[in-house]
Amino acid sequence: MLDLAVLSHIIPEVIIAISVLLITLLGSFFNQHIKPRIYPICVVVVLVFAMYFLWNNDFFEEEYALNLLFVSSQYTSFAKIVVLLATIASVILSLGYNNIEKSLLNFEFYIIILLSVLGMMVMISSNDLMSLYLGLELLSLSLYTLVSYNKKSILSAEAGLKYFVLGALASAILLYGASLIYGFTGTTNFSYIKTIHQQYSLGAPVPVGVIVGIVLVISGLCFKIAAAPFHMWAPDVYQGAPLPVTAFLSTAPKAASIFLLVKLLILNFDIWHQEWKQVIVSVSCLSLTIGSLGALFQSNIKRLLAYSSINHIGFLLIGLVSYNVAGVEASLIYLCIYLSMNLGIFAFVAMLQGNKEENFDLSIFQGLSRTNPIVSMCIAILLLSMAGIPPLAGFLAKFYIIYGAIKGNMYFIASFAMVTAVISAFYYLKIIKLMYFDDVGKKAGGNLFSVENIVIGSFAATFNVILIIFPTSFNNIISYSVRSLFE
Amino acid sequence: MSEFPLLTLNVFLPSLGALLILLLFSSKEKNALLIKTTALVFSAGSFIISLYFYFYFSEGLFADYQFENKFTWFPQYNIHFHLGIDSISLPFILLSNFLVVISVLCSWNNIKFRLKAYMIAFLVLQTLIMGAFAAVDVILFYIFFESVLIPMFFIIGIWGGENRVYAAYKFFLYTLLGSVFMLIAIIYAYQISESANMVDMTGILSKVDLSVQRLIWLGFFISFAVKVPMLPFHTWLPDAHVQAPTAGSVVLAGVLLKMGGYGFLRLSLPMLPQASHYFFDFISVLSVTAIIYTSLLAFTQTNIKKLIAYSSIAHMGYVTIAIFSGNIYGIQGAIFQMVSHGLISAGLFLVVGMLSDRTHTKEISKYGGVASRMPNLAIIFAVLVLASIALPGTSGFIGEFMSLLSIYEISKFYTFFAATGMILGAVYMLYLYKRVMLGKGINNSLEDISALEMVVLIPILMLIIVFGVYPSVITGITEVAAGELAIYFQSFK
Repeated sequence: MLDLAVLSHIIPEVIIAISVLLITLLGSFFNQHIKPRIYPICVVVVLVFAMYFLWNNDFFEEEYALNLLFVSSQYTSFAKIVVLLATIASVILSLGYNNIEKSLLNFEFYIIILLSVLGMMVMISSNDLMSLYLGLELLSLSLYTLVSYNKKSILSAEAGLKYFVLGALASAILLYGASLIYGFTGTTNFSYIKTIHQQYSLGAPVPVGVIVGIVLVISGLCFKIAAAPFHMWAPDVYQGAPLPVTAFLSTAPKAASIFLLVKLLILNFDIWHQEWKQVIVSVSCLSLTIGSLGALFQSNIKRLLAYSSINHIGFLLIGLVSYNVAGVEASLIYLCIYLSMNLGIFAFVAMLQGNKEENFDLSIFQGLSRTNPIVSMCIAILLLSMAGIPPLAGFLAKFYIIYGAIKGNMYFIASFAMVTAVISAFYYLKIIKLMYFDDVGKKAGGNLFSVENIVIGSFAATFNVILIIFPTSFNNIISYSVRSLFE
Repeated sequence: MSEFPLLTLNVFLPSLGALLILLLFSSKEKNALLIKTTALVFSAGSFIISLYFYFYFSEGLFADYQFENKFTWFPQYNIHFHLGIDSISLPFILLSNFLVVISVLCSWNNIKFRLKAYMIAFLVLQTLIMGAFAAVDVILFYIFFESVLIPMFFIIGIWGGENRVYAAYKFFLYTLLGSVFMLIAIIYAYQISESANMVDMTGILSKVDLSVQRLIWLGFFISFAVKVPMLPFHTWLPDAHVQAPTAGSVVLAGVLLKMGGYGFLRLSLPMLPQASHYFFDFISVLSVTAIIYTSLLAFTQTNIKKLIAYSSIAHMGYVTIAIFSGNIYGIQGAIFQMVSHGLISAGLFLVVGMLSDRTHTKEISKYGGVASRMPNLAIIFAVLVLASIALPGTSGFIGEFMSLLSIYEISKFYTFFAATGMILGAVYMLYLYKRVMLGKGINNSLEDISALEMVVLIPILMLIIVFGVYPSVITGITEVAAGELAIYFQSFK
């Protein structure tokens, strides 16, 4: 018997699933008759519609559905809204890309994006290791396809293959971890794992199998967020994938995986926090190091941004290790600010690449301030924000993280993180130097004008500038959902 | 708080001007005069408001903040947008406003490209510097203090000399690395006090353990020592100065270096008195070494700007040692020396800028006999050189004399070496003057300074003389606050 009341909590997911089918039908039968622009617009409409439902108050109460496989709470609704927003921005970015490569992004592209969104939403709401894996795999499979979407490019195919092989390995690791947890606790459901643990936690040590299982599950997720030492795929995939895919890949799926990781570690596995803390600390330190040092000598903007995002992830994880409300709040604030910076940068990079061929050499920025002062100003703001220079939003993000870390008595990692931030400032400055201190070069990019990209990019830049004026309005939403995790 | 937020307006007036310039004027040639005038109006407007603060500064309440503006900012963290002026920050606010106006004026005719961006950068810089001096909240102070990097990076990197990129990078990364430790120290301190208000923090932090104080003190020290700069952290300064455009050097030497000294005076000394006593010898050794070592370095320089840059480090050495001697002469002397050095070094850099505008070189060996071609400039330069070597009657004398007096109370040993620096200063500055102004002429077609250049230099010169003859203009304001701070500080000995 299907209970309709249960269904009401998964309405956004259902909407997306149905619209996937509808758009497939539309594309298969009427593709000749309608303009290609219709599909992205449809996708945006669907996502906004799903968001409208999530904004509803009903979704802010904790509810379980589908035999405890699925949970909907204030936290998950907030996470889904962020993910949907990031997806909408990436879809709008792909509109600008469509002007360049008309044939590339056909209607299947948008269907796959929708499918990956569905995967992300299931993943965020999972209350069971099985539904977690289901969502994660749906997301991963969609992403493998998206990365290798440029059929004519060898790099794209290579990136897709690489991502697939490594991704499959990561999924296997995660599954093995899940099976270990199941073996030692007897359940895959998060609601039961806690109670079972409490039963035999009276003096007994945590079984090794559970610890190994948790470490493996975390490793699988760290692959998704490209945290070192599971970051190997990131530079190549960033470079090979078509630009809208890179923009999407570096924002929405990462956000979803981080939301999942936060929920998993803080809410579901909090009883083992002593154990997972050590893993996350080392992952975070490694990511900080590799992210800041790896990008120093990159000459490709996509690879550079890949390393920079590894560094950001390292920062973000510090908030988790702090294991207090301030720290986790900081992580999520950092995530939202990271999304805005990244989307903004990709919006402008998409505009600057060459007209026909993809050109992502750093020289596309050369002398940009002479030819396009407004765009270069926005890029400079976003880059300085990434470097964490006050009064931009990136500084606030780092400030919260350090605040949480010091509250959790982690002085060493706080200092270490800030030192890596200084190192990474070097390569952000390198781009600013190209734009402002150098003359216009011969190899300068196509400098395509695209309204969509300018809107998204300048919106992101403005957000990064004015956040310092109203920091609290943004915090309140996040702090409510984080508090709900700690209760 | 129903009063009109005049101080906030004063801080943000220049960036309002920057916004206007950004939005209203395109960067075409015909708009140049309009852009320059707008920039001048807004920065001078801000200076005039700060003069209002000087004249309406109520004398009975020296040690308290006046003209306060407080807005809610991070309510749940107890961090507020809180500005205020007390008698320690007032001289700095006046100095920085004055010098930015001078900078705008002195670049009136010699910025040939990207005038719009240039003026925007200076106006934004003015806001940020003033914010740092007027901030009562530590986090707010940090944000202003640190964001100064952004406009300065662009000023050095875009309008600088041949090696400007290297200098801009070095300046940015050095300062950022220093500030990062201060951020951690500030957050750590804030964690203990649970309030970011400087007054509250002083009350709580001065009572914590010496071991904790030492850690926070070191965090602050790294940042301020880079900014001042103190000896092992000074290497960015000569590069930045040599490459920066004239106005950039003026602001750098005149104001940015003072932010480091101001930070020591405002944060390290009152908040961490025990640690400041503990580290007195450390600071003294560094300062005295800096005074002698950089004076010797200055003597061997072949570039005029580099020479003045090294002399700045030596002069700031008096400031740091005077601050941490912690008696009333020291605190007053440090403030006075900072204001005086701000004016003198600004004047010197302006003169060098005017010379190199004409000859396109800063190498000392290319000059000689300039005095016979440019008599007016030679007189002004002579006054500045004499002020720099602390001749009585100029402001330089008062500052260095008070600083030496303050150290003398504590240690005659350090005084001996610090005083040696005054002799060395005379040696290298007079030797510079001889090589540039006197002797055989090489350049024959030098025009003497124009009326506009006079307008830029004369006020600085007048202030140097006025402060030298009648120092109470500054010491009168700072006396009570410095006395209170000194008594408070000595009570922790």
